[in-house]
Amino acid sequence: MDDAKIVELYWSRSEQAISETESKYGKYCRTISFNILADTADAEECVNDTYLKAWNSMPSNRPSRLAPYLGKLTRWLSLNRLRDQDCLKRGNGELPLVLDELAETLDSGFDTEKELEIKELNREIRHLLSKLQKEERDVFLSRYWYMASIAEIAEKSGFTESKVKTMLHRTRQKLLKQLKEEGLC
Amino acid sequence: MLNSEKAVFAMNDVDDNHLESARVMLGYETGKRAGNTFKKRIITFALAAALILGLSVAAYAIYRATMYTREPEEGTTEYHVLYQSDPNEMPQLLHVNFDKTKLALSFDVPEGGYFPVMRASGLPGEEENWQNESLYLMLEKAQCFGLPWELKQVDPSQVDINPEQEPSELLSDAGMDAEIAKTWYTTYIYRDKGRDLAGDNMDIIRIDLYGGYRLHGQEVILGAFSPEGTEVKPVQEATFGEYQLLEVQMLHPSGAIDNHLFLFHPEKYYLLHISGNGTYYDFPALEKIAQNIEVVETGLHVDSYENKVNFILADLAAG
Repeated sequence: MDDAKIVELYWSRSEQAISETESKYGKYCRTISFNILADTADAEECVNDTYLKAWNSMPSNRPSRLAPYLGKLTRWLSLNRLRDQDCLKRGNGELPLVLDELAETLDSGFDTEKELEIKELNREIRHLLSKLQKEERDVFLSRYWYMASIAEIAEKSGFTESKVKTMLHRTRQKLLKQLKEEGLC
Repeated sequence: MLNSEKAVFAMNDVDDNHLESARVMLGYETGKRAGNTFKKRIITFALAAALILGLSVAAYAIYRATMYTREPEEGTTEYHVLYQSDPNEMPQLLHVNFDKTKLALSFDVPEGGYFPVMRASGLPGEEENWQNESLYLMLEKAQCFGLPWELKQVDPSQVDINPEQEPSELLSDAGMDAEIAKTWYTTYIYRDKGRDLAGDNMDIIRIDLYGGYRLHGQEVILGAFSPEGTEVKPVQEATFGEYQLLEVQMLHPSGAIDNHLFLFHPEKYYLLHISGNGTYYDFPALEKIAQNIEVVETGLHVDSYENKVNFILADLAAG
């Protein structure tokens, strides 16, 4: 079933919307959640929460593409789950490693009096992504949005792990440079 | 919260196109085959459930899009247009200025969508009186090159295009059912081959079908390549069955006239463009052809690519 029809099911308050969403996007959402939580049961709960959020948000939202819409909900819910438990940096998944990599660039040597706002960071990240080459952007988002492992990114992109690490490092440096130019750090 | 942690949260709301591009690279499935920009599963090809002209509208509410017309301002800077100078060649990107365009159509359709195909009848090749010595008709059907080319626009690594390959084979490679690929098309062109051989393009009639994904963020333009003095006149706006109809006449300095029928489906988001040489096709004749066109939606999903191509040239090769 195409996205427009699934969205219509949500808008017409048909519970078939959930089963169609699960059929088409369940695996995708579980992958996103598992990459963050590294726990199958927790990921399953987050995916169910995603469906509930989707049910409550349509109407009034009418997303033209459900993959990014549901993906963002799943990722947000999964991250919040860890934050609420105060264990963002713990666990067996990729998230602690991702945070370490970002900390190298964004935490050390920063002016601690200048606290970055999430909104500002979002604006700068979006701006950075719009300037990157497609390959750089794909690799960056694979790591820091999808939380895929370096090995997985290397396998899927066809680059070596060393090349992936180098690309990520350079992109983080570009982000830092941009933040400095904007006077945010 | 540390900046690194904030960055992880701040990254959540990034551009959907960027996110989808990374998802495709990772091969994360969305209920379909992984690792590709399009989906190979064909939606069951049931005509009863397909988008046939005259099909009744579903009971539930559907977002209705609209086709708008505007006269472009002069001096607007460069745009990129998909232009197919020869039906046997792949469409190319041209970079031209906007200031010669006489009329533009825009559409408030959602991003992305399914690849539609059509079947037309009542065309000149089926009538004996079109076969004579002075008019050599050349049917350029099976113009479904668009899909592989368009998929390549979204992700250049995804589709290998060999111009020598049969269009139906390209479509099969892209995941379309082989039988549909052979008998349903996106473009019909009948051309006066005699004048074409003399180096003077002369389309008798042409039908193009554009899915909503092509229309998102783009405009359909008329007159950008026409000689000085060409006039483009909207003749009528109306409802035509389920379609929003716009009839446009193009008057060339040579005296030649082209008639254009734009039929936009506000709920399925596709556009049918039927253009005919005015010597042979007046508006009632074009409307008759429109009544007999069947459009079906395949299961092939295509992303919009507004940043690569932002206009569709609608001029008939005539005049």
